Amino acid sequence: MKLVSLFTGGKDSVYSIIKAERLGYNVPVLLTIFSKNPDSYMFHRINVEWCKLQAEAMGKKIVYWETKGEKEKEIEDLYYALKYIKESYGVGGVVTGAIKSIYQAERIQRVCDKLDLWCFNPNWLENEEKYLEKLLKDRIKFIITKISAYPLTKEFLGKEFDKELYKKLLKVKKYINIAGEGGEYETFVLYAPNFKKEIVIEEYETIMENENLGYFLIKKAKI
Amino acid sequence: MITIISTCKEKLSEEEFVRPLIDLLESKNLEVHVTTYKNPKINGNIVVISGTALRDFDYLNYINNFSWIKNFDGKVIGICAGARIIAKIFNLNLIKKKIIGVKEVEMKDKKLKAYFLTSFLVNENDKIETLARFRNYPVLFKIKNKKVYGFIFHPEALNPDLLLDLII
Repeated sequence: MKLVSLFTGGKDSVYSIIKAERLGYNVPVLLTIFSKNPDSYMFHRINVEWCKLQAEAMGKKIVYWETKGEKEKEIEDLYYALKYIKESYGVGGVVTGAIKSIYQAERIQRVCDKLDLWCFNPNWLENEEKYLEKLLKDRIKFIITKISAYPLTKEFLGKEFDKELYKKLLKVKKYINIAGEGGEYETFVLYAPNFKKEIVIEEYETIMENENLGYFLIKKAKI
Repeated sequence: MITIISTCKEKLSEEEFVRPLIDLLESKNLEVHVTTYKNPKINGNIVVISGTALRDFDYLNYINNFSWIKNFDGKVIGICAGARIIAKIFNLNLIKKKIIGVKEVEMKDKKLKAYFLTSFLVNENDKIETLARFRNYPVLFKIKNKKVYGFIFHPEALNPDLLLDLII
């Protein structure tokens, strides 16, 4: 079955594609929703313009779809985006990186249902610790691009995920979901087993809004 | 040993509907054996029949593979598609009703939030004991005089303890 990935550029959407491809599914196209609302409940905002590099690294097509990011109206936009992709690319289903967010999962399920598309959430209910261990084992190389929860501070921002960072996250697990599923942090994947080439960040800017809210903005990057 | 029967036609759906059950049971140090609806091989006396994707009805073509449930001495717990199989085997009345999302369900002594991903409900009738209901519909039921249970919602999402309480 041909699938479209609902793609944010983060670890979870990349890993969901890897899981699908390992089972023999074809994921030729990515859909990245570009939300004008930085606080969208549904879609990542940070660095999504760089998803095109990831698509290139994976040898996939990418469709950007803009939404104002108004609550519930952004679901309508998702509907039209997926309708376009279904008609243009002949996909039979959607694969998402959702882990525990029922808010996201139920809305995507409804849209898929309306469009007669299969909906796959292969990361669903992954145990956060086990999940991060899988990402380590599978050598998913990603950095933290947004922090938005105590006790995450500037020292986490821009950090590459490795055993050391995993241990640091374990130390704060009583405060946050350490897989970041509650929006505690967002990520950007630089390399994964399904990338033909690695992404190199050449310029970036970090912005701290307060002690626990900050952004790592990619300004220049290449494959 | 607990047997999980996958009702998923698509292998990718098993990551969503079967793997979470395996993880949940193994987190309690329970030994799990996984089999498929096309050729279910039962090991042990507790069987959990999984749910599957909303568009997946292939398991209904293999309903005869589940006729053993009627005479099974152990416990059988069906989740969504699994509950539909149980309903078919025990000739319960099904109604078409799509429910996607979180709803409040009522149990005897409490109310709780439950995650639904279903295209059917079961009508109340004298073959079942209703353990939880959504509006007037049984959404967790027990076949009378049998250790056979059906969840219309997905307890693994928001109510893992409900499922574990039936298993352990």
